[in-house]
Amino acid sequence: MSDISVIIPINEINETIKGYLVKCVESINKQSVKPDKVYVVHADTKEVNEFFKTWETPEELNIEVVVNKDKTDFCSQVNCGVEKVETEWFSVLEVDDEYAKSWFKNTKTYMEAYDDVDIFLPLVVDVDEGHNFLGFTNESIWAMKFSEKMGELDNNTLLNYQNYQTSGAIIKKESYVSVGMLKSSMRLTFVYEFLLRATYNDFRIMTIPKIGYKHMNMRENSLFWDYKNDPKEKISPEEAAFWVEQAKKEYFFTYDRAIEYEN
Amino acid sequence: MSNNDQIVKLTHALEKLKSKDAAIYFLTMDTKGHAKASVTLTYNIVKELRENNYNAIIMHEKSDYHDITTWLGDEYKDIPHVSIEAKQVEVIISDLVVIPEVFGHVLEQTKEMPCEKIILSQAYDYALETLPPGLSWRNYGVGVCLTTTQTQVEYLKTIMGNLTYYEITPDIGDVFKKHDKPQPPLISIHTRDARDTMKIIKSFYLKFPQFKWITFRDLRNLTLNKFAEDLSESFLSVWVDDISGFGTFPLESMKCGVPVIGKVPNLKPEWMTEENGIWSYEFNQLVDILGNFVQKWLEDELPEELYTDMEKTVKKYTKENFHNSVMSTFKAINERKIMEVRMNLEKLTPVGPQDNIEEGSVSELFNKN
Repeated sequence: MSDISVIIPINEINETIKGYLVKCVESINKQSVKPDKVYVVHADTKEVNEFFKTWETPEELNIEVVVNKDKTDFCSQVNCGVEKVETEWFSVLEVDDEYAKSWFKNTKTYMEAYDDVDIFLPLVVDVDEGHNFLGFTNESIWAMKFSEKMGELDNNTLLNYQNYQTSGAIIKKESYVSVGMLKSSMRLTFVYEFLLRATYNDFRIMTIPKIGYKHMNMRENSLFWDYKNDPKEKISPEEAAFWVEQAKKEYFFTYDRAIEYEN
Repeated sequence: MSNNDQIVKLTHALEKLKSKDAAIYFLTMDTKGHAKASVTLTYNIVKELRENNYNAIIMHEKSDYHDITTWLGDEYKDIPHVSIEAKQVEVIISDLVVIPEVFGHVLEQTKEMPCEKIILSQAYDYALETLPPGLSWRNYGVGVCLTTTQTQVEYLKTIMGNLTYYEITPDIGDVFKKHDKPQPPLISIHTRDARDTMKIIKSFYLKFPQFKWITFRDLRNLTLNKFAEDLSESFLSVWVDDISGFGTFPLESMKCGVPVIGKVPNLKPEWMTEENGIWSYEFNQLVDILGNFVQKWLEDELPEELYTDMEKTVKKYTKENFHNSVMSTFKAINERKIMEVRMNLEKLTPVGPQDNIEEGSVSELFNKN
């Protein structure tokens, strides 16, 4: 066991998602060092509730299904899961993503070597829906003279570079809660704002230079796909710039404050 | 020189050899404050000899020789040095001058020195560099060559067979050790030609742009401690040295637990196996091998056997084996020299040299005769 819990937020269910769910749970099951518990936190909609009433979970894993009452957004699902977590660490696994098979084992090695780190980011492999390699995320902080300390993310670096991924990361629950968790009122840049807030609060954030997480980029109907393509959810370049700037303003505040973009 | 004068000299030489007081001068190049494996080995031999009561001394050409403790460490600070330029060298018949093969030109200048000269060949490729065509070390009165591997012995025998060869097994020092934390994505690179370093780095980034965030470290011009520290901090090292005689760098790397991708040198090192590293005969293939290795390291897919074979390989190069090889070599040379001096004394004295010569004075010997 690893003193880590995994949170899988689920917003909707269809045949494609069902397929992804099997694979993502399989990627947990394949770990040589298994998590203590897996929380599947789903949106409170009729279809999703129906599916999880009869969902068969693998015997090898300790899985608990949690309904995120009355809410459907990603941030509140994650926070709802975190409140349930009883281990020191947790990790968020998006339903269309997978862990690399030695991720938890590697994390354990790094936890022993660096006992004051609050967040271990994985080296993320971004793929398209055909699982073709698109690029890495979180790798840049290992580049020479990129961040203040090689391998670690800091506030100044974040103010210049926004593209970091916390899905798959191993996060210390106590630290996460102490800075106010994810903010539901932030659209588009909620991860960025959280990282700014975490580094502002002196979190030590390190990328483990090992492939830890496979992330499907811009899957159809995913949150970020909707931001780009869904007429109802679409975010214009102006709005995107607004949310980036908003993240830079909001990270000084621990708790979520209502924010609206007005055109 | 009269017969008696010769007897005095030889008797004195015999005393010195028996008491290990005879000087053993190691002609050494000035590295100008930079670490160099061949010079490290020379200092290690001198240190080992001195710790075992031999009178080993570093001899250098110029008076402004750079202090080696800056890169080699304080433990070498008590080793005596003499400068040829400052005329601090006075040799007598019992002394020994050890000349690196790269200093071949010195052989002509030292031809008339009244002492034995031997060659220390760490880089077989330079053996013929300064010798005129058709001449061997033997033509300069050299009968002994020390080298670092059996493969070099075999090779040198094919071109200069009429010498006695001794093999000194270098030890890979304890300064080379495993990093105490998981290794970051750093690659150490060590090539004889600096152009090769740049060729590898540049083509790697062009062929594998997804790995542009991985940093290369050229381990040139560092102190020994910094060199060892940087090396152990890497997850991989790259080695290109076609004319390497021993292959110190890959062994140092293995001792640090850092796998090596390397080009097989012209003379394949005897420790090199298919299992203890990733070796190629083709320089141009190295970058592809490198890309493949990096991917496997990131995916944690490297075979555990690679690391265990590295450990096995480097186990041979211990302080104890080094000590044994240095002691047996210099004991054999010293005993042979004692024998030669005795034989010469026998020729000059009707009843031969006295066995208790080390306890008595030379004049007592004359009185006895």
